[in-house]
Amino acid sequence: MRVTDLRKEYPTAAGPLPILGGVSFELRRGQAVAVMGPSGSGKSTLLYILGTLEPPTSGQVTLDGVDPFALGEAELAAFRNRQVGFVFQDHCLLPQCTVLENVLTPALVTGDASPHVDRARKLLDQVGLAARADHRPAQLSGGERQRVAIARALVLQPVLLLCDEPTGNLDRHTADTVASLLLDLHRDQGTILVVVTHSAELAARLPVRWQLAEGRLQGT
Amino acid sequence: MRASTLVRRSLRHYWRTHLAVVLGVATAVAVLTGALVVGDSVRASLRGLVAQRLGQADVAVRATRFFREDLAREVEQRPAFGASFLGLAPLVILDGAVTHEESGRRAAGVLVYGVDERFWRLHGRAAPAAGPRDALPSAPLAAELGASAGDTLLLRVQQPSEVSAATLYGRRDDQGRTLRLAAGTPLAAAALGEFALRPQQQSVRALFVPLRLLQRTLAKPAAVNALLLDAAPAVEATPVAGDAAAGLLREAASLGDLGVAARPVAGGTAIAVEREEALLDDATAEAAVEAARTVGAAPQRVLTYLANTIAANGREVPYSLVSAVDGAPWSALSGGAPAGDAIVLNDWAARELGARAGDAVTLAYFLWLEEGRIEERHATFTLASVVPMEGLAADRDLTPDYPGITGSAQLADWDPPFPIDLSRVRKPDEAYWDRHRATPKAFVPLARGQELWGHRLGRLTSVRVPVPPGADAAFAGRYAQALRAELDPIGTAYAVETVRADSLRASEGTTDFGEYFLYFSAFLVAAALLLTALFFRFGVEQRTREVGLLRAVGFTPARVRRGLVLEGAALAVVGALAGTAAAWAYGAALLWAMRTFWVDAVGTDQLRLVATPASLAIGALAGILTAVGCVALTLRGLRRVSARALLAGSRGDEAHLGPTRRTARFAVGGALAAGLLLVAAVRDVIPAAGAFFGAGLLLLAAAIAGQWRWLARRQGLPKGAGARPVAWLGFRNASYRPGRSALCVALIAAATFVIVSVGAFRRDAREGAGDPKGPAGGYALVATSVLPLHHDPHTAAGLEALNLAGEAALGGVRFERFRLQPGDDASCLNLYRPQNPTVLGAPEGFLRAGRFSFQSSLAATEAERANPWLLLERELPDGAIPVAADANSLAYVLHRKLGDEVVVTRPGQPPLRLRLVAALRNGLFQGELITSERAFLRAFPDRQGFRFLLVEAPAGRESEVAAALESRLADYGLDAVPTTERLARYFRVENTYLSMFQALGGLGLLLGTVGLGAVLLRNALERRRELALLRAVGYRRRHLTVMVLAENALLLALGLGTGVACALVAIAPAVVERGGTFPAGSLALLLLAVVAVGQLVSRAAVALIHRAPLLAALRSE
Repeated sequence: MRVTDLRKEYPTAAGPLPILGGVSFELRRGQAVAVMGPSGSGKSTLLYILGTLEPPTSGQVTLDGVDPFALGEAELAAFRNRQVGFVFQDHCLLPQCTVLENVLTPALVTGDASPHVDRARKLLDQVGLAARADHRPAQLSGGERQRVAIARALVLQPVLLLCDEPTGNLDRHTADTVASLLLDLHRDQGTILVVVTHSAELAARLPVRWQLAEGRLQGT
Repeated sequence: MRASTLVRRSLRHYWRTHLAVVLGVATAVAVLTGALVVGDSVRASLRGLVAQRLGQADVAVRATRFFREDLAREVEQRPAFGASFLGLAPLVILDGAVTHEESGRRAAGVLVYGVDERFWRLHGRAAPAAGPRDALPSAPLAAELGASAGDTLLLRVQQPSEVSAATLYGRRDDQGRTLRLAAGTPLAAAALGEFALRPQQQSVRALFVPLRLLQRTLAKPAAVNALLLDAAPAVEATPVAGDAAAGLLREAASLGDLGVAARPVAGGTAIAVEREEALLDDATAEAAVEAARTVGAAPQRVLTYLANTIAANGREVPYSLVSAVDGAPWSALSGGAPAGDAIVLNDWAARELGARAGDAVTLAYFLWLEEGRIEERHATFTLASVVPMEGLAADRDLTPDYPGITGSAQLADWDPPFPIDLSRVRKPDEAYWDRHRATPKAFVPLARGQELWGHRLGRLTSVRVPVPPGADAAFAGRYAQALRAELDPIGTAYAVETVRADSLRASEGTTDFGEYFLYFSAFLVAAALLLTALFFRFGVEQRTREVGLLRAVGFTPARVRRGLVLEGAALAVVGALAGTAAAWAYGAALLWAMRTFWVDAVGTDQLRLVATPASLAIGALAGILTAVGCVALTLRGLRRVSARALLAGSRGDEAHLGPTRRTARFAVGGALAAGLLLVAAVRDVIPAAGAFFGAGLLLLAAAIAGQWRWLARRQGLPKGAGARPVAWLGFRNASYRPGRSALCVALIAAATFVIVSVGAFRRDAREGAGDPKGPAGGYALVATSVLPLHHDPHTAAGLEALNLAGEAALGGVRFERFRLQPGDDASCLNLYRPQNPTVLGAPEGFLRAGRFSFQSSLAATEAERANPWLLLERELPDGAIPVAADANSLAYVLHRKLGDEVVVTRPGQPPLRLRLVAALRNGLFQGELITSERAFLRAFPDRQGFRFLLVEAPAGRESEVAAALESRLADYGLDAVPTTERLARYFRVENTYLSMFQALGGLGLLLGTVGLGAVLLRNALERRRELALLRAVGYRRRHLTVMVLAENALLLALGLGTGVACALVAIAPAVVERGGTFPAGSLALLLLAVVAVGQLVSRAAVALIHRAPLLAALRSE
């Protein structure tokens, strides 16, 4: 993934509010990085731009040579579906679906998720929730829900795994378990892992840590 | 797992939220489908009434006169009869007035049937047990009269007369007959008691009288005036049955059945073609002439008239017949060509007058004028020659049979229907009568005779066909055959009515109640759909993170929306199924209301619930499509919201859907435009009604936009003490989601606007009562009679003849007399589509007076524009008759517009085209089409006298005058009612429609108020942390209650106030112009109900808020 001079501004009544002021970096498969910084520094904005959920004001993002922001709406959605996995602080599970169905949610974009059921079960096995496949999110603990969210993010074997405060809502022990799982799976899958976090403990477990301040990345 | 699994899972998981959506759709579908079910039910009920009232009668043959009862048998015996018909029954059908002797109660306009066992057999029933003088009333007639079996009923019917009362020789007095009858057991509708050939939804007042008794009383032995035919099932409701009946009648009817006689006269040397009516109408005369030519004879036209006096040389001969002839007869008599003033006397008359050729001879004769009085006129001739009494000059058959004259043994026995002075009759006159009877004493040229005595009903009394020299004995038969061939029974004396086909067509109705209820329910449906959309929107707003997630994992916005729409569609289907079931209950409730407190709109309680599969499908489908459309609309905004915002739980509409400067500009522009319209209207630049209504609507839109903007920008600090600052906080809460608040205000304001503006169109029959331009034309009474009135009540002779002389109550009373062609009621009181509307012939004086007001007309001249009644005097080049009609009847009953035509059928004559040239403003003439008297007489020459009266009476004496008229003219079956009463019957229908609209609109408004409650609750739930904070800083529960109630009160006040104020602007000129009243009381009640419901739902919202764990919410913050 190559990010070149990425800038983001938000329009306000007082004029444009700059958030990112020229972020550039390059990450290869298997690399993992933690992005840290104070509230409002633009961490999540960077993450969502990388995940193509938000367009940059200027600059370029390419993944495997493809600039997703040059794609049309349908192609962009397909790109996100195949190439990007998300893990949110608030796990965002569908309360109406079972654990297995939640994991299969990205696969539904193709219309039929059946070909992905085995992989989903395997992932659930890997995150230790094979026995809870038919449970509803409401029947799970916070850590379990986040593990389901991780399995969901990886079900289509994306190149890029983006995590927004994945342990932010968890107690220390559970956070540690979830972080281990995340890193194990990242290694297994060979994804590019970008984790936005306030947690120094979590960041410390990642090989690379960047600090985002005044809209620019600084290595640590 | 497939994408649809997600939809199914969501449907099940969010069932509580979805339940509200389903209920909304179900309500909308129930209302939509219920409206269509009402339409189905009314149509089916009308069809049911037709079937019940017609029994087995499919075709009716009606005649302008009585004909041989045997014709029925002869028709039945025709070989072709069995191919199309199963049975036939002759009967007498008359209008009558029935009096219950014991109570004196009277019912006019009763259908009187003279029937025997053949009538009941036709309908597959045994004849009810009844004695020879027993009459069987229909149950409604018995109820109206309070008559029980065995009571005495006095039936008054018109005595059929061969000689028209419109001519000098017609009987105008003693034209009715009264029968004393014993009431039998009243006949229920199911027992054919309400038999009627003309469809009507109201109860039928009918009386079944033994046929023989009626024939005897009317001196019409073995004669009837109608035939009923039961057609084979395959053709019973088709025109084929009518064609078959017409064919049979054409085969079977004899000359006598057409009222025509071809009798040998002058010792068998000629055939005289005459009618029983004495005058030979033009069509028959033409046929007689054509037939004569067919058999090689030279026809002679004759018109014989009575001269009161033949005077010459100071002498006179009283009461003599004079014949007008032309051609060979005239030449033979006068020895020359016809000269305008030539007269020929027979030698007896010349001798009595001492007259010689060249002397002046004056004839005095009576004319019966159309306005209802007799006048003696004079004409002077020059004696051309005197002829001996031989040949034609001695032919007493030149004079037709005049009842009361020609049959008398002596002159002194004459009993004509006009005044004669028998003291003038001398011995020689008696001797002449004794020897020569009605042999004419004088002859004049036919053209001159027709000029003096020709009548619209005929200009000849006979056509004489001399038997050609050498003709064989069969000549008379050949001629009769030729004459019969020239005369089509259907075109001259009979009308074939396909009563079942016509009635079923009519039962499609003038008023599509399904359509009306769709209009009436518009607000209810709109409110239900709005709630549907609102609840769905609330549901989606709960799931914004879910939507964001789906976008994040690769679903396109369109696909996410599609999924949600699919959910909405599934809910709509479930709602539609529930709504379709509920539609039965809703439809049943509406029908119950229409049978009870809305009965004035339909005039019958004979309504049963019927729903066609098509209506159920249409209602359900319309509900589904509309609901899905609403759902799709509510999801439109989601597309603009970024996935990130959705994941953060934002609905995204805060930034996109708020009021902008454009909103403010719209508000100001709308108000300015409304102001301009009002100024233009005040200065008469544009019509006031439209301008004010437009201004009201513009103001409404502008006010709502302005309020939206105002709500969004409210600021300032709370003032005051006690509950005021807390209430102020509540008012500020209305600014939390200004779009939602403005939506609620808009719904309430729009519904209030419609309900208030509709309410102002209620009519009161008393308003404008004395105004000649008002709905009653300034007339106090309207009267109709069973028997025609012939005499002019403004003359002493007329008063005397009508038995009105000396009646003190009639002082200062004036009458406007209309001729009446009975037909279908064209007013809103008739739910059936009128096939042959009632037509009135208005006298010239009435037309000139320019009373009543017109809504529109085809006036082309200044005079016509000033008085559109004058349009009725136009002679239209294509032969159509110009008519005026009530504007409402025109639009909603006849479904016609100006310039269109209504085609009516007439027995014995070709169909008549009535061209609509003027539309009266809503008033007294809702049930009739009006034409000029002159055009009426041309169109309906057989109609005699006047049967419809408008009466001017001194104020305050209306009841007294009505009572006097009904009493004095009881023999005519006169029924007089105040014009306000007639108008009130019409206005009750209109007002009931308005009540329906208001009731259903009010329900919509209440439903909208429930929506307001839902919005309040939703707002409160969304801000539960904020409310929890208030609790934390010391606010008590009652403070929160005050806040919510204040917010609700503000929105309700804005909605109601805006709606009422704008409606008042909109309807101001209409109220002034149309004379409507403003029903402040009932509207205040409705608005109070809205406020009450609003407060109730607020209380419910407050209760739910108090139940929510507010402090837990605060902790979660």
